[in-house]
Amino acid sequence: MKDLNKIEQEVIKSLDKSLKEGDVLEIKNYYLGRKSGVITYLLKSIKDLSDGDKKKFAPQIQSLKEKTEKMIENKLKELSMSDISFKDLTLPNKKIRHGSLHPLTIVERKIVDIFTAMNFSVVDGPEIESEWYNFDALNIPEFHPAREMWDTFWIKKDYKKKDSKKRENFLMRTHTSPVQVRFMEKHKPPFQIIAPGRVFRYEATDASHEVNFHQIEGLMIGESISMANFKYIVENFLKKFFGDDITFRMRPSYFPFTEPSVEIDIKLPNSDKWLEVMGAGMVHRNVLKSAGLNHEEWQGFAFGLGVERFAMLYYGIPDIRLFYAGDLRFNRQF
Amino acid sequence: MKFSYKLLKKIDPKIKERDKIINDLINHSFEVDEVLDNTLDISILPNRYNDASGHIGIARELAIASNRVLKYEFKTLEKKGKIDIEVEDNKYCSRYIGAVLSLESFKTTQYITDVLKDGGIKSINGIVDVMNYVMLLTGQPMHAFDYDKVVGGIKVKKINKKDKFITLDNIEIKIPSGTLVIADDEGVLAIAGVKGGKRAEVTEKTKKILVEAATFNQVSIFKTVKAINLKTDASLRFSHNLCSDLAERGMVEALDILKKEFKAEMVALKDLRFDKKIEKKILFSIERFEKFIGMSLLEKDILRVFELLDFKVNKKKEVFEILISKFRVDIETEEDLFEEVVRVVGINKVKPEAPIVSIGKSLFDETLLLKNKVSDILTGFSLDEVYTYSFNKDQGVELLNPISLDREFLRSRLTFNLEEVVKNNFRFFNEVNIFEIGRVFIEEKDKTFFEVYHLGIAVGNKKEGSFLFLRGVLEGLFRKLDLEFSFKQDKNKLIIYIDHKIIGLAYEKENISIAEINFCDLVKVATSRKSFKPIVKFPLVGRDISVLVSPDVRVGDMFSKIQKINLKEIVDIDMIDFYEGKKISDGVKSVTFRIMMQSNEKSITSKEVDIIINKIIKLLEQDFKGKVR
Repeated sequence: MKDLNKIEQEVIKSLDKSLKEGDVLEIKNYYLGRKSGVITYLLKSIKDLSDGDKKKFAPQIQSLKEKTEKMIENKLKELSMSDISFKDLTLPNKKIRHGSLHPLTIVERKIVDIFTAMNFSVVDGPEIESEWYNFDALNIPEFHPAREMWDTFWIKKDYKKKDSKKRENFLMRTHTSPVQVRFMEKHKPPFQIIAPGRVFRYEATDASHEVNFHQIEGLMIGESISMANFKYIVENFLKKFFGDDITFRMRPSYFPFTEPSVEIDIKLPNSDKWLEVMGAGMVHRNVLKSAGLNHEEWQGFAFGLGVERFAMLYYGIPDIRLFYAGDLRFNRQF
Repeated sequence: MKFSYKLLKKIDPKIKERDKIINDLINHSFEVDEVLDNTLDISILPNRYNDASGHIGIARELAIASNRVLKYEFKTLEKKGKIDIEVEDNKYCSRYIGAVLSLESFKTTQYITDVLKDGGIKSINGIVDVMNYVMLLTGQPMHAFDYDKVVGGIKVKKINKKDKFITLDNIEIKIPSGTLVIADDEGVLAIAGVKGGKRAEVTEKTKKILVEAATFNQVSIFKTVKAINLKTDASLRFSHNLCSDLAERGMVEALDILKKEFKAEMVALKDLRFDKKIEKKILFSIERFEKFIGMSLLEKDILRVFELLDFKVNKKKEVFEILISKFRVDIETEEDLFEEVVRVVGINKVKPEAPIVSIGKSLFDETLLLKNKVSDILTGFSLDEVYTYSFNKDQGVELLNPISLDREFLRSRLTFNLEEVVKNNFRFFNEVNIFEIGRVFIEEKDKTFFEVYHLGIAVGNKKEGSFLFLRGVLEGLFRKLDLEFSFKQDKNKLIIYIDHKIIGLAYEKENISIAEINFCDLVKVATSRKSFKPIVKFPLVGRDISVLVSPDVRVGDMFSKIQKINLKEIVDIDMIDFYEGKKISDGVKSVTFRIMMQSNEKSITSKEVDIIINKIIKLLEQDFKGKVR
């Protein structure tokens, strides 16, 4: 009965080779089949053994049977787990769509995040603005030729603002710069803020002009905040936004509310065209005065940028009107 | 503004090549928009018209950029003889120089017509061409009248009643009372600083001319241009504040050319000046320059800039007293001088320097912060964000100057625009779910207005009703924001309550469902902070109740009644099945509620469950005449 060991080795070998459930069932039948299974036959022949042999071999045969059963069972389990042919995991899945933020929201957030990381606060201001905050307080008196730089939507003259006693002329703010004055009136420097928001221009719509669009205003005031500090902040900002491989330049300009005034141009890699992206300058002493600050005590810079302009450059969008058309074939691209 | 390279070259023969001057202008002075042949289109900054809107000014800027002083000699004016000229109101005309000249013939020259062409001006005749040439040269608008056609004396005055006037180009325009004009005894000859008239037009037959170089008040010109809606090259220049010394330069140049080219003889010249000659002196401190700009320069380099700009300098102890050239009317403060120094030296030479500031507590506007949060939640629910115009044709705050008839008002809600957006997108999509967070403008009684942020949501599905999806979005949003909310139906609208206050409403319109919510109200309450609650260890038990009610019973009402039982063991109530007969007459509406119960003290027994369920059944039977199946 040395063969018991041999049989066990045979079972192990043949189970190892079998790849399909059918192979295993065949093996099971060969050894454990009720009629002519090899091990079944051994079990049946125990009764014909001598008492001494019975004592010796019966437990061994019994154990071989149990071992073989266990091995076959395990092999079947193993095969059923690895056998995936009957479950197709490549069928089309359930459609789960995340909605899209508007590209202007995405770009505005990207800009705001860069500035908040530099300790700038984020503030808001009204869209219907008084003539004072939009123009006069910013050193743009009536009949100043510079007013022509901002084509304005005016609110009908008989309107007044709720909870305000003053009779004023109201307009749709033409820029976010009024927020500068509003903030400086209520906060003592030093501070640095940005103010994102919607602005309005009375002008014909075309691929690069819209009646409403978005700006982000920036303002940093302290005892010795200089033009060189502005250059540091703006360089950091532009490189974080557009990438380290852009070049940028400042160019003399004119805004009534800054002195000196500059315009910022950038050049994208692989392009030789300068693109105007921002206006900026050192806050004019008359603006500080409008907000009740002494220009001999405080100084600093302000800047403004167009969110649409940034988004158009960032994504390569050719027409500003796409932002407001509400065509989801556009909005869902971002 | 168009400039002729040919004329620049004549003024300063040392000028660099055409393409090389562009960078000098951009880096030190003005943006150059376009260059075509001999024409440079330069954006003169609004505060620099007085000194730089003429070719001499641009030539000076270019010389400065090359570290040279431009040499250009001006002759002086000589008064001669008598002309009858009177300025009635010198508040609006600070200088008037008139010169009468006689001449035989005046054929225009090729050189002048070439320069005019580069400058975008049409050639008319010899005299008019010279006037325009002088304007291009100096920046001072000039005018010439046929002096033989002038009746009596010249008067600069404001007319006191409205009048009609025929311009040089034969157009009749109405001029309102109060317009500043040049008149003779017969009436208006020209609208001062804007447009010349037909009556005293210079023609080929003209033998005697009156040349005018004057300074008109910028506000007056600005108002006239608005009133008669006529913009001219002259009015554009005058509305940018030209000084009276420029008028003199214009006259000097004009006389010089007329004498040289046409052998014109001076008959008389009158110079009326009403403004005082002021010497503008501004103190300049190198220390303050360094603090303001953040750049260190050698004293000699700064002094060189002032020399180039033709500013005289007096050293006074620690500071310099700078005498500003009379043509630089834009320079009024020390910061203006800082700008001059930095732009001449080169603004890009300023080196970036990290600001030294103490880190303060930074703020983030609460509305803008919540706007970010809500847009993230809603896009997570697969809604797309859109931006719509702030204008519409709805009632609301009215604009004085709308851009078109369909944009006469400011939007008072978002959903009108959003509904349009959904409809437009139905052409491409079966399901359109969108939202916008933006400002709306509310008009109240007595024409008072205020502005407020709204959240608008519009969901549309071409195939099936969308209202329950909308309400699911709202519920999901409010739960995520941890708000105490409820809905109540009023007719066909669902009123939305947060903290028992109305903050918005929702309704269904055909296959589009819409919600409009006062976002600022949401900001006020959405600041609560969630806190941890221990996870309950005891099992959750669910039991279903199916009830038959009459079709006019509202599910929402049954829900709120069950909620009002207010047992702490009830953790959730859900509707899991709903059936309504096709006709009301069927009289069947079957609703199945699933009640989830749990105790945080022990395992809840089936006896306790039965008590709760029986309470609910009794309630449904009594209050809604329901039959529990």
